[in-house]
Amino acid sequence: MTDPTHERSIASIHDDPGGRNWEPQIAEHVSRCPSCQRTLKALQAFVDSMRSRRRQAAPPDLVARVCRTVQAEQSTAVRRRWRLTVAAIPVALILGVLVGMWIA
Amino acid sequence: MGMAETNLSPETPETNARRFEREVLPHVDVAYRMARSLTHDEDQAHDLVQDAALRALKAFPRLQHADNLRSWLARIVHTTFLDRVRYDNRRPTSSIDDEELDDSALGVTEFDPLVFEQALDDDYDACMQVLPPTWRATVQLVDVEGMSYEEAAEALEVPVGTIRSRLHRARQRLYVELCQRLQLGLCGKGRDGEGVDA
Repeated sequence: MTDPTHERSIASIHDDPGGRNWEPQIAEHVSRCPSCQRTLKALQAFVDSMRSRRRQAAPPDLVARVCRTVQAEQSTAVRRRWRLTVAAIPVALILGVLVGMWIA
Repeated sequence: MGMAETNLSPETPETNARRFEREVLPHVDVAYRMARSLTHDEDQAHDLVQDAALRALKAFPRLQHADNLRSWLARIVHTTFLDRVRYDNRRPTSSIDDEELDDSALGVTEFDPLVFEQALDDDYDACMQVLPPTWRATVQLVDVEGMSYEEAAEALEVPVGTIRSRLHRARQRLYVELCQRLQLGLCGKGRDGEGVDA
């Protein structure tokens, strides 16, 4: 028969190997259960190994490449905006003339 | 609360790009590690980060809340990766997803700490390749980046329960793969036959 507290403890260990948010009943069970302690030790070793991978930073050439992409996109967007503005001027002039003629 | 409203006034491309560089680019390391974990290839990871950054830049002015840019950027990297895989392979999402994967044979009830302690970065890299991309992304966000289940769920656009389930299955699968490498003498500190006890 499976002990429900044991099952909940194993689930808590998986969810929170640091044990920061364990209920007191879970913490008490883990402290006296060899199986839970073994699982806890294993998961802590696993998480420690995984966390050490966070040291891997993006290579400087990638960061420079991304910056160049952002700047190129910005220039394109600015050019697009100017092109729209320039294209709108003759349209506005024509509309102005037409409205002027209609009023006259 | 931590919810900062952005996009309160219309932005010019210059201010958008400047704000993007200031607020989003500091998270490029997260994007890179996520891309590296998903592609397992340095060049592909670089291309993926560049594509994702471009998408992020275009989506940035529409972003309503800037409270978790790390998880937002991770989501864009993940979506860009899935789109690439779909485009490259012309296959439906389910085949690059995980929920159908048969892992009933794993049956691991207890982990031996020695297995994780013996393994080196290269071993984890090799074993991570066995996982489906969605599992890799989950392990990457929760176990490597230290995101909460809620943040990872937001990044991968799945319920928190799915994150919990994927994580549990991914760890089991990694454990089994590491055990197999240990038995074959391929793993970590015992690679050259130097005293593997497990």
